[in-house]
Amino acid sequence: MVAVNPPPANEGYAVLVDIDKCIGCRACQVACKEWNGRGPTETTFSPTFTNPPTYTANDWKVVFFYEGTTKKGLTTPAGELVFEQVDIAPVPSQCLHCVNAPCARACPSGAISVTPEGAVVINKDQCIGCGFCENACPYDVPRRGSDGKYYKCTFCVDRIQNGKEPACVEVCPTGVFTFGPASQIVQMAQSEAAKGRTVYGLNLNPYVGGQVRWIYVSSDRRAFAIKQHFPKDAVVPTNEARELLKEIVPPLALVGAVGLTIIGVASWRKSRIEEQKSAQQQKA
Amino acid sequence: MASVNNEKEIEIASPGYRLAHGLNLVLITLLAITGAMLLFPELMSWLSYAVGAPLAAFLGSPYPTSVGEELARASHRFLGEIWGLFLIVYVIYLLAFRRIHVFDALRKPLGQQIREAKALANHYVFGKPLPDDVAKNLDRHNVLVAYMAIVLVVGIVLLSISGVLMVYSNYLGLSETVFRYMLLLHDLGFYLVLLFIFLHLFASLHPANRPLLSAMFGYGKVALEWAQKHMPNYLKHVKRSGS
Repeated sequence: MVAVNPPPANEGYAVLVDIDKCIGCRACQVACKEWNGRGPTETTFSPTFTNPPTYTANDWKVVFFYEGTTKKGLTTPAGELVFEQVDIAPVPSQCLHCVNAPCARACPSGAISVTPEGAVVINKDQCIGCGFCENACPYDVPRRGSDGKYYKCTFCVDRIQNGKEPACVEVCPTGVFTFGPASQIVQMAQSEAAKGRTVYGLNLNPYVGGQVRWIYVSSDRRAFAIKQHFPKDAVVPTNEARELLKEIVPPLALVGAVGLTIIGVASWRKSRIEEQKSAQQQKA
Repeated sequence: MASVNNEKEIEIASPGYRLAHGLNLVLITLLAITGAMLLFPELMSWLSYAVGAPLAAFLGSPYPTSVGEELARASHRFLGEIWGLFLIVYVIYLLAFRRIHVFDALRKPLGQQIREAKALANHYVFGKPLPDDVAKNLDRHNVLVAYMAIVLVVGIVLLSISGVLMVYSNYLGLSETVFRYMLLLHDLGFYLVLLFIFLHLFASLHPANRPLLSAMFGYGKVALEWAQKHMPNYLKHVKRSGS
């Protein structure tokens, strides 16, 4: 009833996100809100352009802005001049829809399911608000709403099932997102990696199934944003330890219970036999 | 207080002690079941369904398992707080009236403790008779019971601290990282308590200890002859204090 059977990594859909093309207009952020009927969030000022500063129950897609130094080349009559310059890079971000989603594995009520399209979706009617999904997510995506239930990006699975692209993909004016069958998108990402571009989303920790369905690519110019935005290792060590213990303990407990019962009965029988022997010896 | 009566019996568990033990037993069992429903949803979904189905039908929800899990979560948090309050009151009573004797065996020299532990393990696991020097020095709580009590106390401390911090994490403004550590510590505490429960069940259900089990769930008394064999030091102490 709570088993999760995600489709294999090469089945379903995926998106390639080329952040070199992103102009930080946040049209995707607005389209997400509009399609999913999410309410407004009060503006919070922070040291960056990112607003709101992180995901909320109403903001499933947020364009994060990062500052870093990048190398730039300038062609002059004297030759090419390479220099370092501070740059700002936007990273449109949402749930990455892990191939083997730890949030779905952690959910005790079976509220998180993985659709055949590969979308990891929370059914709010089944959510009990325990927060185990938030605890398990290495990208800190699921957020608690004012009703105590958790919310996150649905991959616009309702649109995909009706032959449409996700709302954010469709609205992007500069073509940052390429939506398509997972096998095709993964091939594209691999060829980008072969060209020397920075790719995030392939060859990840087995904790997330080794791969996610939103794969990010960037040139060296904006690679700092990818490094700053995503964790070095896509894993939550404490939850990984919990999962390991959860696998070990039940069979160990069963073996222990049976073993202790057998030992108890056998030792009692042996001591009874010895007592009877000593009683007989005393009589003799 | 323990006493020896004319019917050749000795009280080893006072009514208060038995009441506390009974309450603990009920609360720990309910907490373990509701906690296991959250920790092992795949293994316990049958129970979530069973307890959730009637409520789901009443609420008109098409998700009985989820309703069962929600019920388990709410009960777990509520029962945890009741158990915590009970433990606080009970520990204050034990400390105030100096009733904590379960660790007395740890006062023995380490070498003697190890010898006693080995002899007791051989007795309960392999059915070997206890050596005379060990048998005549047994107190009410032997050294293995003291070690098990340490496991229980560590488990309860982990469970209670992490549980309280998780329940009030929003009010306390705890970060997600702290919550993650608390959840892991809560699991570890549960496994330690589970280990204690297994060993406790083994010892209390061991046929050699049947009088102890009958006393705990009966009138709190065991036969003098049995007490002489299993807790001679304790018997001496009771006779001394009674005379």
